Amino acid sequence: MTIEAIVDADLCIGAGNCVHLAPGGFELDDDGIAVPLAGAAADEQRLRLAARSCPTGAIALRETTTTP
Amino acid sequence: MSTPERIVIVGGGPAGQRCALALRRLGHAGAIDLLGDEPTAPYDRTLLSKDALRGEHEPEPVPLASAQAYAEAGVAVHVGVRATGLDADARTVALDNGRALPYDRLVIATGGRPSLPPALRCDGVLTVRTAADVAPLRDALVRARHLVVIGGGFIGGEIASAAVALAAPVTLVEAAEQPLAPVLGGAVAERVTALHRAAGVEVRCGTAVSAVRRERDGFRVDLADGGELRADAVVAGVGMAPAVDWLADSPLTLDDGIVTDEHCRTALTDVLAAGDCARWHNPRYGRSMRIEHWDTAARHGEAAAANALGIDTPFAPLPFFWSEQHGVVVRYAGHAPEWDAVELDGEGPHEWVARYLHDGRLVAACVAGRPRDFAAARRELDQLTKEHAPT
Repeated sequence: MTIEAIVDADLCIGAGNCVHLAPGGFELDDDGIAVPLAGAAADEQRLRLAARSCPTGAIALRETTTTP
Repeated sequence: MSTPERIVIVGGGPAGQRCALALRRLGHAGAIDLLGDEPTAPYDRTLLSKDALRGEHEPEPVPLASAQAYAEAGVAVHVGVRATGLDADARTVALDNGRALPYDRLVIATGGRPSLPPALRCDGVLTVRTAADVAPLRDALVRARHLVVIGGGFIGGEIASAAVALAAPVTLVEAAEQPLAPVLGGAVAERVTALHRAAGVEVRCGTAVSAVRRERDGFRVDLADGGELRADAVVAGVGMAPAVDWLADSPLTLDDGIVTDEHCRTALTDVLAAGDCARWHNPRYGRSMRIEHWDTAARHGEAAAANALGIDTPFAPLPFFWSEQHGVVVRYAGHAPEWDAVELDGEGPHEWVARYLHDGRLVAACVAGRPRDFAAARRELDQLTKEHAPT
């Protein structure tokens, strides 16, 4: 079981907190919108902090059972 | 400006941290020194009043960037060191450890500190700004039989929220007719007040605090209306002042913050300022502003980094902040020093949308819950303020 982050692009304002709090988990695209990185290197606790710290509530987390 | 060799950033908040990492990302090849006067590297302050007080996550502050991120970017982070003066001719910053740190370019991001009016200056009155403030405040919340929070603004509301979450009986004292009424207007402030009351906060409005005194077993809080409150802990959230005292003798222009242009440039060619300590010209509104919002400070730091490297980057943000009051997220975007109508949509205290209009045009929005409505209002504001930006 791993945790996967999903960004709601409609809510994201590119505050960038997630990029800093969960290194390897997100990047900002050319429009300044956060995008979860495939095979994110960030650990679960960091992803949870990024979601918690997102000022617009744009990050949702879901549990996945997918094996890499 | 010539290409700088060594860039020094004074201030370990979000503006400083974002500035340091952005400098390298934008191609700066020389040294980067990031100085903070706290014992830890920059951390997430927004989580202090929201979670840390309630003990909802690790008591250690959450770092904004890992040691590895600074190492990879070649940023030297100096903690526990305070700047005490600026020598503009020698281009050095004097430090409280006796050293003088030379710079080619200096970014000042020293932030703010809680300010207390004389009536509240009493030994033992607590404030919250830094990680060091959390432990004593949390102690007080856990032990208090009765807590008085002075100031019904967003910070005061977050402290009251933490208090009731920890089952500490709390009275919130606000000088205005309702908490937040000066910022949000009466109708919206009523919703926030209802939120407090529903959560069990006793709200005392329309009276200032005339004195706080220490008594044998706690505090006595005298109210201007003649009332008095007894408390075993008193917390004040009544405003911030820019942390610029150390620059009083410098050639920088100080006017409730370090005055800069839209490119974060101060009166000194080699010195820039960003974040809560800076009063800058916001071209989006054609006026000077000093803002104490986390998101604005972080973006300000990145703009300062670009401008420090000569990359023309006017700083023109749409002000935005968020807060959590009793589990309800309240978000605000825009700039509304005045308005002539408020459109309020939604029933009850938990979910509503307030739109502030001036001359018939949307100038700000405040939204409780309903993130999608906030996003839409924010986009509308962004568009409108760009279209109507002064030329």
